[in-house]
Amino acid sequence: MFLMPWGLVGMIAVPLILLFYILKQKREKLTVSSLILWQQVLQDMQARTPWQKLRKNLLMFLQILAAIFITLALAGFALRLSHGEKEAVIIVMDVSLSMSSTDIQPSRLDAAKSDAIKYAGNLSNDSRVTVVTLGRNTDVLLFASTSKDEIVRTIQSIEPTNGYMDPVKAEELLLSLKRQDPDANIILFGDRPVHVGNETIQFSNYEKQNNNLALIHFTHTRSNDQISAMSILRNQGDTDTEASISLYGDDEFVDSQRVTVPANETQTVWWRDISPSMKNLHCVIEPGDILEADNHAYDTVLSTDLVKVLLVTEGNYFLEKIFSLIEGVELVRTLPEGVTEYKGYDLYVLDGTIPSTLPTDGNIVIFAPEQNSLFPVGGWMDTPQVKPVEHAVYQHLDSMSFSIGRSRIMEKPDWAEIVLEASENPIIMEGQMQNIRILIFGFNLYETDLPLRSEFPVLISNILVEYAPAGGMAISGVLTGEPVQFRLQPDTQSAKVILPNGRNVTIAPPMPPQPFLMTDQAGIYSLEQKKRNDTSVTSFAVNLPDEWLMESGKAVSVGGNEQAGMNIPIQNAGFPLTTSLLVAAMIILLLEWWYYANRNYI
Amino acid sequence: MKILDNETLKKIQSLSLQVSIPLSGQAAGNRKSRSKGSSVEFSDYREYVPGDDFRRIDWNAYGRFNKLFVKLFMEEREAPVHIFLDTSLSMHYGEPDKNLAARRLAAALSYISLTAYDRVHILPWSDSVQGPFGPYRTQAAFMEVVDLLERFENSGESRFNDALRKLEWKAGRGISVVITDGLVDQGMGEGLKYLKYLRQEVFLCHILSQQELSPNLSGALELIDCETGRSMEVTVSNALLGAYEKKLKQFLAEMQEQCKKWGVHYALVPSDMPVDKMVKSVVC
Repeated sequence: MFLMPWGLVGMIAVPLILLFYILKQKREKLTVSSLILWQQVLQDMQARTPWQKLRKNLLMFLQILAAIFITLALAGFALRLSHGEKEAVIIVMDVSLSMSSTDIQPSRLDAAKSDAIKYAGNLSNDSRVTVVTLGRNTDVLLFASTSKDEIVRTIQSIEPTNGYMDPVKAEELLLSLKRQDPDANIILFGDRPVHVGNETIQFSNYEKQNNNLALIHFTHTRSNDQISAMSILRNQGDTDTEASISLYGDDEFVDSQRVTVPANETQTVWWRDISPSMKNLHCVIEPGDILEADNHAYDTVLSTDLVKVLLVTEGNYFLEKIFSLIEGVELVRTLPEGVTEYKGYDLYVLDGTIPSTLPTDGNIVIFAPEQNSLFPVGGWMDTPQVKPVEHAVYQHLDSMSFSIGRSRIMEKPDWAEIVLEASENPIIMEGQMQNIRILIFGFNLYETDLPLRSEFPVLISNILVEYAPAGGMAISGVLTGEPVQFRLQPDTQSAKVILPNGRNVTIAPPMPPQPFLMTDQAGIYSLEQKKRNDTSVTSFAVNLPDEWLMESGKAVSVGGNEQAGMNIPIQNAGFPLTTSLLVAAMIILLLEWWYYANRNYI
Repeated sequence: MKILDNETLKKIQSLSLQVSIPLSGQAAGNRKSRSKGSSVEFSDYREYVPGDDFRRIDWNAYGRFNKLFVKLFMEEREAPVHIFLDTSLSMHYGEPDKNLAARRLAAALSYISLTAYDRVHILPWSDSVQGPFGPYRTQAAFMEVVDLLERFENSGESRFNDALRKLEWKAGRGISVVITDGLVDQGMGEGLKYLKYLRQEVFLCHILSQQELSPNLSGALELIDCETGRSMEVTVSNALLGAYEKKLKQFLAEMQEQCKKWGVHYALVPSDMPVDKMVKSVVC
């Protein structure tokens, strides 16, 4: 059996060696008086063809033998040890974005599927085959099946995804499968190796070319009533590439630039003076390359609508200052007694006060709550040791450690969840009542060092994103395949998402909506929220992940040891004789050299 | 280079071409002829008839038989010597050059012929015969012969038979010396037989160089025939050289055998042989 049958091309060497021996050698010219005698002498040795009679020649036989051995080594000649025995095979199909590349026609994935089907077909009938896809998610499509038809059908049904392969998840899954069946061979059909602990897996590589230019980042900023956008391109190839990059706003051409991206480098392209009326931006690399999908990037322009925040406080300087500093926030501050009606704001920040009638059109953030009808409030708890749990308000925060002088003793109501607690007493709670989301801080900011910490602005910004999602706090940074958790406005009655292909998907009711998972397409999505009196539409962009960065970055962190978890070319079960054959060839060549050096010349 | 030096001439001046047939030359010379005339060589008796030179009457015979008899003597005539010199390209080969050796031999044979009062003709040939040049009759003409021999250029292929066939030649009895390397594609038998038909005493001087008699070759060679330009490829091995020597011996033996059969004097003359020895091997 041959592990790399293409290596048999080397067999060409055998006729070539023979050719060298039967081809006439270049001869020294010598003038003689006559050929009469020579002709008579050599009558039977001289032929008119360009070939001469093949004579016994030890050197030639040694050379042919060496060539055969080297060719067999190249072809991965192996002894089939388990011929006819049933095997366990885990066929791993890489379905990440890069497998849609067309450097192999029709695509890498199609070629991989074809090879995988061929491979499965060559397995013995009793072989147990597990089929796994590696994308952003790892899926076991088929487990330990012995039905060839089922295996083929499963492989045929595999579709490419727009996500990147998560090496960590891949390794976890494959290790788990390997634990279940330690004798299983892992066969990876993909364009990037995968480390699976110390396991050696067989890898069929479908990366024929890597001359791909990708738009890995596209964003914008608004200043002075003008929009500036920034695109970052990465050249994943080994040669400098020149390309044209175009910008479209609301499906109309805006600008185009010609750039040269150095090999394996990134290049930033700036777009200035874009009309502020643009809502959706679309950046395109032209002409196309082996992977068309990553030639597009999308962004939605931040809305100019301000988030209206009502701050009800006796005079909390920190809250006043922080909300007034955040761009896109229209802050109205008032004393508790100054509020006539809690209505008309996106977010109500209640510092040390809770009205008897809660607002119904905006979410609420409460600091140092007094006695109220929403949840029981007791006395004060001194210097609580806080212990945060995972929550969106901690997003982008490395740590949430701060000191609290004292905090209200609160009892968690049924509708709320603890976000931060100390000695089983909630310090921060979060919940939802009748579509209104309420975030409760048990302490007064003046009695903590939180405002003095660098995490404070981030925390407040997170609160705005979470609790006042409309307007300036648009959904951003969504990658294909990632779930999106929509925070609907409190008075939303129903909501739907319009996909880039025009398809409508209703996400609410029920409230709150489940995480939205249909983000496989890159493009502009629209969230339509239907309220009592009007309908609001918010757009957001979904872009492809930077697969190169994602996979290579994680692969390094996972891979670690290059020796362990090697990826070797696909081979059928067998004992490879490559080394033995090469050693034999070397011995033959040495023998040939010795014979050549010591033979008697005639 | 001088063809012959004085020392060589001294060594060979006592030699002569031996002829076994009566000659028919015009002028008197040192060779016996069919003509009966005045010489010291007794030939026969016949009855006297009026008009005979009465000085030749054998009076002793008259005393015994009472009849007049006259003595007949073999008249000595000059021998026409035709030297056929191979001037084909193949002669321009070997170390020393066969060509030079052939001309020295031709000069030497001319010299001894002129010394013996013979009439010398030089006939250079390759694919046709040039000349004949001559006749040269006296020793004084030897220098002319030498000048002539030095003038010839080598050209053409050896075609002895064709050359003789084209030659318009009415020779009587005489001596023909053929100096050649014998490497003639079509052989020389026809030509030699033709010379014998013309009542020639034929001497074949077969000149070969050491490079032909014992070639010192090795490796892969493309041998090119200097006359025809044809080539053949050989990979020289001991076996091949052995086969060549065997073939050469066979070739020489056949030639010698045929010459003997046709009554041709044959002499194998290596080109590196001294001229006097060459001449001796031809005439002895």
